[in-house]
Amino acid sequence: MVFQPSANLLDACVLAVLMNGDTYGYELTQKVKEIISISESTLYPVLRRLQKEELLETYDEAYNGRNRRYYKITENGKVKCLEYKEEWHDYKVRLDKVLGDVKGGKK
Amino acid sequence: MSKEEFMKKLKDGIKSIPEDEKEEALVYYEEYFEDAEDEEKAAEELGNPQKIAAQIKAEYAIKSLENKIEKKDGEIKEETRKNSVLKNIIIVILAVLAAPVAAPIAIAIFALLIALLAVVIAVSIAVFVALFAGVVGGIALLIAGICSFIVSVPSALCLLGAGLVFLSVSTLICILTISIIKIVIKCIVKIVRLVLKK
Repeated sequence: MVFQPSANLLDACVLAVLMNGDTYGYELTQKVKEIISISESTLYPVLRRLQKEELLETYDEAYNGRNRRYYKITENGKVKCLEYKEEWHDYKVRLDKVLGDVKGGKK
Repeated sequence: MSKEEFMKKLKDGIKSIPEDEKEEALVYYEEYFEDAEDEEKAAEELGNPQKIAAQIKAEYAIKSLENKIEKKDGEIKEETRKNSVLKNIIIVILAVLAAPVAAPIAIAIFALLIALLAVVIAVSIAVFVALFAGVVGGIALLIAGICSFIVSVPSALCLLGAGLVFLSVSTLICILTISIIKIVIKCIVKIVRLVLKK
């Protein structure tokens, strides 16, 4: 991917993934990686920050005789995610306007 | 790089951040390795643990800096609150300074009201005194009339009639005066209320 994801875009991605259900660190990393190209180590600071901003929360669950920390979106997080959705839509429309006018290509 | 090596380097790298922050990060990566199928591969994908440690430290530093700034914002808000208290004090001071102008007006209005009340009381006393005189006069005429029957019947009847007219007129004026006083007192009460509201 040539476009560099900003911190906000990464936040939006994480929140959107968590909107589909709770998940744990490794799985979340894989899911976000499928969407935008990030390095495996990018997510931890993001998760920690989102947790401090109370957009997501964690809970522990036993798995195969050990502990697994799950991430869950909070009500604030849901609100934020919807905000991102709207912002993204606006951004997309504006970019489409200018990029869509460029002649040639697939379309 | 093995998982153990990775974790050791990470732990060394984040020594400087608070214990709970450090614990949180180590637990995350510990679990990450356990969920990954291949630890060696996971370590490779994650990259340089020192770099990851630097990232975590940077994020922590930014967060605590933001908290400090927010705290400062809070202090500024506190100051503006103090400013509004100061504003109120200034308003009170201005009101006190304006009092030399406002007070004479208030006193004048008050004096006017008292004068009005005094007039009403004086007039009603005068009217009642006049009425009392009328009633006494009427009764005197009646007595005089009764006494006059011996001397002359027509003048006695005349005196009796005059006495009755005095009494009845006095009574009528009395009733009228009481109702007028009631109306005047109601008006004064209304005016006082209006002034006090302002």
